[in-house]
Amino acid sequence: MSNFLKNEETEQPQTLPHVQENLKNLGQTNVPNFESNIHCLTIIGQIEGHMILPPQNKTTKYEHIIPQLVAIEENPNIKGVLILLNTVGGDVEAGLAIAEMIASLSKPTVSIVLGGGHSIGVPLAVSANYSYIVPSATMTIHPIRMTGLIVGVPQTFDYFNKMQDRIVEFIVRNSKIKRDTFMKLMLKTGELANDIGTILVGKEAVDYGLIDEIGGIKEALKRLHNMIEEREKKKGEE
Amino acid sequence: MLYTIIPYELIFEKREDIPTNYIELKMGNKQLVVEKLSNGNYIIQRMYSTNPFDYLDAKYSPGSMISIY
Repeated sequence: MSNFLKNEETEQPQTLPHVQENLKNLGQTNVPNFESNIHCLTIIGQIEGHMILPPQNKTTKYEHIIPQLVAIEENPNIKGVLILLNTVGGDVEAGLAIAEMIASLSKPTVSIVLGGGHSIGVPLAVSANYSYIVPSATMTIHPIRMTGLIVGVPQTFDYFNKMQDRIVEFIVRNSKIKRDTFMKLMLKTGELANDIGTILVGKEAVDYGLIDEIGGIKEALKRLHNMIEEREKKKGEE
Repeated sequence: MLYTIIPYELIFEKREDIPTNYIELKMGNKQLVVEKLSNGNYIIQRMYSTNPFDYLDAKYSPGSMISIY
């Protein structure tokens, strides 16, 4: 983005002060002395797993997320987790590991797909107890692509099929979509420019049963607070 | 194995225009990505925390200076 803004009256370009200058001018802001009982897990860019990706990739690192989830589960002050997703996919194993961790948390979890939740972002989105998607967000469902050194033998195909099966199985187990429907979307032709698969926009993901509901932060937080309340009630009865 | 919509060529492309001298560190419960300045201070490029209120702390917002010692 350009560093210049047009002054509305004079139409003259103005230089914006640097961020740190701005902060200095604004002075210290007071942090409200209020502890949130909801923590949020922001999953953005590429999911980074076994391999460190080159620096042009914005990544979410698996070794950061997994211990954080453990801490969230263990901390009695944290009552619920909000998962914010805007990811283009990434490492299969890391994605599935994070998704399984979220799915097996005992605390209420709600996810929102913002912008995009593509490829391995799909299991991450459905891993929460309840999932939301904003109307403008998209989810791409496509087969795993083959790259690198590949031996042209039937076993290679079997291997890829197995990897894909792990992902599909997780999605079917954690959402309302049927396996057949999901496979049909994954293998659809004519939808993506140079690939097979489907792009689901907002409501479509809900119609197929992949995501629970359309909604943003307001709906997600309301749902999360309700779930926390219910859980506390149940605990009180025990 | 990657499952992503970004082509492998773009993920693994060699790029000269991306700075690589950022340092990743942890302060309390916050993950920081900082850049070292010539005066020995560090400028925050990115902050990550699961506690949403950490993002309201101006001390750790991107662009603010910290000294690590």
